[in-house]
Amino acid sequence: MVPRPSRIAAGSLTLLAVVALARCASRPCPVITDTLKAVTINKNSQASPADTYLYYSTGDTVAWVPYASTHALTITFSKLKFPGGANNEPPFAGGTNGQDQVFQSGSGTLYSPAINPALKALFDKDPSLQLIYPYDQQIGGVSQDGRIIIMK
Amino acid sequence: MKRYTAGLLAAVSLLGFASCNRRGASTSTGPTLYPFTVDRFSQASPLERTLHIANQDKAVWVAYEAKHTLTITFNSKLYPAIAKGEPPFEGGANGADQVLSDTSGTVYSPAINHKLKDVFAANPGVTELDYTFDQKVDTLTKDGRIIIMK
Repeated sequence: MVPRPSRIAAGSLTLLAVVALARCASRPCPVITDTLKAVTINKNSQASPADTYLYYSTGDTVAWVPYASTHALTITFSKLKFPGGANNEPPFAGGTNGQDQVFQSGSGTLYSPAINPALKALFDKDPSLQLIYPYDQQIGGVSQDGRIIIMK
Repeated sequence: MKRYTAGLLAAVSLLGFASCNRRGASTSTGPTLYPFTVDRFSQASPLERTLHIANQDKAVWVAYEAKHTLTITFNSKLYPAIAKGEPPFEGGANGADQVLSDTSGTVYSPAINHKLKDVFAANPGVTELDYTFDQKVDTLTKDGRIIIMK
């Protein structure tokens, strides 16, 4: 007799659930509770993670952390790469409509301001809106790309 | 029977992926700096990180705002028994607490204690060493965990 696919799927799901429960019982499973998202930048200016998701409604912010505390870090959101749906608004508070938004640290961690409050009206108008802001992160003269994705 | 086998293999693959996702990179990809964020209630996120000696991984703790004193304490009483008193990172002393602190709000770990390589070598069946720590922003203290692997 050939087993039905649904039985295979049910068996697989049961196995997954049992093992997942066992793992969480042996040590606490991570729970994301923080609204500060950390992005590390390595020696080659590579950001990890490359994409960072921020929610306006929960007041998320981001911290960029260079690989060593003594390194200067520059984050640049080019106005040319602002998403079309953002009406030229920069991603974070303190910027100017239609202008690049640049953050610099002389050394060490760089904290973003709050998400630009001008974006709230856009999310109120379209709750499914995702605003993708590419940026360049630079350490030691090397630039690489990263992205901030802002949602309601 | 083949379908059962395929289903089982798919489940195992998913488990492997989920496990790697939860614990960080499972393969050697070069040195990685793994961040914890610490909120105003001293809650770390994520609760645990896995560091690999072979990758020369490090950890960094980032407070919710700059210029808050952040202190990470590895209590020697909670060191894994098999580590025989060795702290998780370089710069510590055998049998003593290892305390990392910075007033800037960001604390970088030193490199993983090279003596832990000897611990793994002497205990081939051991795949990971779990080190519990307390993180404190300002005055509140909470728990977190570092898992060190070969």
